[in-house]
Amino acid sequence: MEHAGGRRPTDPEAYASAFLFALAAAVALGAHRLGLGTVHDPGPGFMPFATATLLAAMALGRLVRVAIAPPGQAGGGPAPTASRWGVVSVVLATLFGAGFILERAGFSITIFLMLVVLFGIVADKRWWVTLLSAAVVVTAARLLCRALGVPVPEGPLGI
Amino acid sequence: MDALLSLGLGLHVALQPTNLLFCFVGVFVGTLIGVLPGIGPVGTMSLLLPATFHLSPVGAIIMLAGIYYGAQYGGSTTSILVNIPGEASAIVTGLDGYQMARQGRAGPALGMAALGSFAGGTVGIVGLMLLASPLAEAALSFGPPEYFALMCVSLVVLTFLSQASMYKSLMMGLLGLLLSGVGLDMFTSVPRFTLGLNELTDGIGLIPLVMGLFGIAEILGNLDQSMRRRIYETRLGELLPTAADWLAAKWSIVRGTLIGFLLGILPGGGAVLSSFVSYAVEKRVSRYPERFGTGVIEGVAAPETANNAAAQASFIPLLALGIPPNVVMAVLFGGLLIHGITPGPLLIQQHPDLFWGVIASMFVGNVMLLALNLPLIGMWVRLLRVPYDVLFPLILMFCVVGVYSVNHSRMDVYLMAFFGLVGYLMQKLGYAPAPLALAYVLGPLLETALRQSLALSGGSFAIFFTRPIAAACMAVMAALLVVQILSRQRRPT
Repeated sequence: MEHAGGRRPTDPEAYASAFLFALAAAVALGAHRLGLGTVHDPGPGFMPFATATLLAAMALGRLVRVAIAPPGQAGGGPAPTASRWGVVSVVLATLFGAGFILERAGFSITIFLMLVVLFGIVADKRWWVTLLSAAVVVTAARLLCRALGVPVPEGPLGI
Repeated sequence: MDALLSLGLGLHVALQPTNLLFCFVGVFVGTLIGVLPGIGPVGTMSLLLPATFHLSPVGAIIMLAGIYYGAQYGGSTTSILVNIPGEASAIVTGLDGYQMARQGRAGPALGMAALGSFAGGTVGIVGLMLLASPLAEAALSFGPPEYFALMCVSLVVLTFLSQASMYKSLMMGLLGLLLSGVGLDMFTSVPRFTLGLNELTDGIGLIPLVMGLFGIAEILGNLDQSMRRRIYETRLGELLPTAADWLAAKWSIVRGTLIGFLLGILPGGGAVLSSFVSYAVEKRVSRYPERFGTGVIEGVAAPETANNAAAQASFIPLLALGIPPNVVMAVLFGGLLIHGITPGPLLIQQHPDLFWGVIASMFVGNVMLLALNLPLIGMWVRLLRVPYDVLFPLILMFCVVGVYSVNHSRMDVYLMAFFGLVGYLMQKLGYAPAPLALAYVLGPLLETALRQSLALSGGSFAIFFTRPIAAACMAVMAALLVVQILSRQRRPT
């Protein structure tokens, strides 16, 4: 991506388009393997193939446009800013972690640990505030789930 | 006359004590999340969907609908008083509403917002009552080609009206269609794109997808900025607008209602767009456009009337045609399916208690909202003092519990987190999540209609251009795409 005015900054828009193109191409290939059928009797891959091909073409068009347009004129909008990637990563890791241990540790322990991380690390509360808040919220949530009849998993400790 | 008799049946259903309670819970929760920035009606409805499993379908839909139109009321309160729109549809209300508040006229602004919302909402319900039945009867003659064309035009209109680039919105629509293809093929039962995971044979759940794209992504977006909010205090004063205010705002209310109702029916229209359009129209027709933004009552009346009329009108395509026009209706569509009710032309015949009960509950809900919003304004504003770093862990906790309890599946929690990341990145790159979510909901219907149409026509695509309704839809779709391409070419670079 050399430009007349020197090396242009990497455009996140290009990455997004390239990702969409790669995804669509992979789906189109997979759909072809599933079987396209015929036009009067479409197979399971017919619709995904058509959709993926169209998406791949559009993503490729976007990629070309980003590549040839002068910097800032590809229509991608303002460059994304993220000053708190660490916070975002911790929150996402906490959600994945909660999903992972929910059935193993049970509702109460999972939610307690999740809240400890969110209050303690992300919201930066004092340790005793974190522990107390987590305990109160878990108890309240447990009672609310029972009142609403929402079934929650119980771990080895029965909580 | 039939409509009045049916409304009587609806009132009988809506006034039953349990349904009144669900209506109250819905509008209360709706007002609450409308007041609080950071969680919208889509996330809340998804979150509460599992809690409705044990309710009757009528009670569940009454409550979920109440959340949606309740949020439109609540959003304006904080927009006017503290210049923090609780809902996207209340952003323009704050332009003049907050200026009125700073001039010591918060009361009339709030009063006008509440009464305008009531007027718009009520007219919207009457329109829904009068239009839904004939539209559903007409739709009974629709075949797969008409449905296919209608859904295609819905998706294109949605991307056309989207605030993001139409090109990007179309790509997101296509991505939504691809995601809807995951799971067993409905005609041959062949697993598609399940990556060998048994949990994906039923497809990607609507709730994890919507909660991820709208709920988790919104929280991540908020955490990306400062967690501190500045609250500008204003004096409340008298609540009722003066006679001069009413005189100035009467035509704004009429125009707002019409614009809101028409845009609410359109796919992709809904409350947000209608509030922006009605504000722009008011400014254009005003004798003093330069005063907009400095605290004119028309700038509050028009968008507030429009967003409530639109909220009610957007039920028409869902209940009469079975086609959700926006993401909120898509969640409601999912809610109806979970309760074993298929939205569409037959809904009114097969479930008159549900259809008319929900409509009548909207009248009741609007009255409840008026009572909730005027005397309790002080309480709603105090809620804004709850710091976001206390709120977001609680919202995340409810998201995990809510999404897990739908299918008791850990995969749904993973999917929610994954789509949270996807939605966050989409926000950053200017991709709109609404076309993706709506295309995801319409995907299976679209595919069925396409395959049935092709089977009907012996493989000829001409079926979409030779049947009048389908051809008209295709013409509209083509016109929108051409308009968009031409406007891009004319735009100066």
